[in-house]
Amino acid sequence: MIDNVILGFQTALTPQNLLWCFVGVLAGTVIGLLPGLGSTTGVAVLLPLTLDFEPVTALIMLAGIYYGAQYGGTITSVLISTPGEASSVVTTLDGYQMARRGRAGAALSIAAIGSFVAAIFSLVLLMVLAPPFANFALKFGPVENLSIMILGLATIVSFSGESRIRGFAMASAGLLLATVGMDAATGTARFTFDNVNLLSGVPFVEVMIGLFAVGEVMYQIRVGAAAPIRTRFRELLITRSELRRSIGPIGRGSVLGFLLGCLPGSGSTLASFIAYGVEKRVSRNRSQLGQGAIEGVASPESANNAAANANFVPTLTLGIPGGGTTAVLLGAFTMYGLQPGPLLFQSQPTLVWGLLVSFFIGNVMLLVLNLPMAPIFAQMLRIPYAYLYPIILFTSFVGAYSIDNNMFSVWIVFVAGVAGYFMKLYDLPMAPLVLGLVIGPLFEKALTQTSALGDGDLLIVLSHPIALVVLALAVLLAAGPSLVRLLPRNTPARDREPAGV
Amino acid sequence: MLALVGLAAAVSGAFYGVFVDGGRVGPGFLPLVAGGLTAVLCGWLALRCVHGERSHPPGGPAEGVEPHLVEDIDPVDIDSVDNGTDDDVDISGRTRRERIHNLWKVFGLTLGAIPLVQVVGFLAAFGALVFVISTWIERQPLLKSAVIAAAATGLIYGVFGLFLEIPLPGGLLGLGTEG
Repeated sequence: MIDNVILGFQTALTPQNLLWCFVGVLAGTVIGLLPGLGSTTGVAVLLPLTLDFEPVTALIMLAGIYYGAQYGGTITSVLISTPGEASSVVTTLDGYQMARRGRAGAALSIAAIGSFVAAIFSLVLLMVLAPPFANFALKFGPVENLSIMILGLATIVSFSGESRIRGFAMASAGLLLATVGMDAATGTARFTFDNVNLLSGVPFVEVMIGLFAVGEVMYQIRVGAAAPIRTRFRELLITRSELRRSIGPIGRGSVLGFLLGCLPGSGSTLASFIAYGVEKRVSRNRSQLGQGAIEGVASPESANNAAANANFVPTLTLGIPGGGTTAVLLGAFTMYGLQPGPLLFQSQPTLVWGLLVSFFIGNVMLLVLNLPMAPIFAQMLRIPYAYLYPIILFTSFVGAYSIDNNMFSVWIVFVAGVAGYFMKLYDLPMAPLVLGLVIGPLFEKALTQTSALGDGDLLIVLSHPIALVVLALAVLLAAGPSLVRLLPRNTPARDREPAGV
Repeated sequence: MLALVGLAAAVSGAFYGVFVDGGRVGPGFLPLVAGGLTAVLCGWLALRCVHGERSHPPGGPAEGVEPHLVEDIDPVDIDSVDNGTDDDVDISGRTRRERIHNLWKVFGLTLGAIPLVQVVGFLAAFGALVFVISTWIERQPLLKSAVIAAAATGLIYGVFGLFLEIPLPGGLLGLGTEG
């Protein structure tokens, strides 16, 4: 363990990796704070820039964008009530109210501190737990892998959007999209319409750029923008009372965020909402939540950062993305010829430990950047969106073109952009679609192998204890919320309490 | 539409071979199952939309948000998260109707810019897109828009064309980085 950490520091502390880590976290902060861009978009759009990099350098930079955006997303949530990231949605509730009362700086500061504490806490757990979990996962065969992918889909479906039916429909659509191209087992070309570009499947990164960048830009044009609130340096100072009130929420948010982030497909949005909900029930100041309570910023911001790091547990050890952005990062791994999974810790120790240690360094950089510079970052919000979004469109299309140097990629981005806009408009969750598309080929491979192991009988999964437990968990997750609703609820008591989350 | 796509995929999947030798899963199995599920679920959602049973309007909470969690939040707060669901004007003074018109114009302009790449090249086509959107759609000052479009094109040329050596198509005018 110690040897691995030292190896990680040796890798992460090279001038080149330090530089790109800084570029990544800075870009992530900027991307996170600009409405219409999020970590998934940022990683997808900037991925082509890293094609010539060493894989470890590229991943350090891309991961920096991911957790940097968690910090940046808070700034827009607090200042203009427009979350830069889905995981910062809940922060708008109290963060914006604090800003309206002149406490924007305190909200931004506690978000940065909470995010840092949660990130360090979750990184220690990630480093301690990921290697033994990867060793355990080495025992997994196709049957177990299939059940874990079903768990990933069940997790993301059960926490997606207005209704689980929508999530389920989008996960199915993602799996369907993943079947386009040559079938690996038999060589059959499926849904290619004689287009050679489709033989290798629907290009994943282009779809991501279209869904998240172009679709989001179009949606932002539709919704317009809110008026910003300006913040000043002296407003950054947190009072002793605010700091004391934040300790508990930061601790609870960190633990909850890590636990929830470990679930494949859960992302960090869920963690922030659950953490806020817990504060609504356990905080001494729960009656103030929703009206500008610092607990309402500290807890969800800690939770989403802890979850962002914990998302790397399933991503690195099982090769199953923890959420939307880690799905894109998983695509990046495969572009660099790497296969995330239990063997990665043994076959690529320099890369894995260098990446993990870079999270520490990146989070220190983010704290140093965010505490004194939040007001400066906030000035970027003054760039009119009228100038910003045409440039985002330009960058998205040129980024997509540069992946394969062909116009087919550009058309895919446009089509996916139209799809992404309508998905946002009709509240169809994108994360299940992304997960379905990413794990589709792996899912089909595991399905085919399981079928072969059972001589055509898929019920062979029932004879594998690990797979059985995982499947039971998946069923529980998928059906759990419906079962909870069937339980009798104490309505009068609930009505007396403040609205909870 | 998604329901129809799913249905078509499910039917096509049956022709690829759902099962192969020994009853094992074939290349048509996943298209059949995933397409069938997509058709059924999206069809059901479409029916719900038609019957007006949707529990909240378009532009609802962000993805990844547990439904019952959101219901518990004060609706006033959610409105402040997504300010696009009402008819209020935004900070640029546009009504929702005007914003939707602009959206379709941007869609159309982008759709037009892509084939234009073959004629004037990638940089010129998308540089022009930035300029036209800024001036025509967003009504920004002509000179400022021209400077921003030129700066964006220059930056993209520097990063993608020179630094990354991406062969951006030059079109008939030869304004690219090919060759």
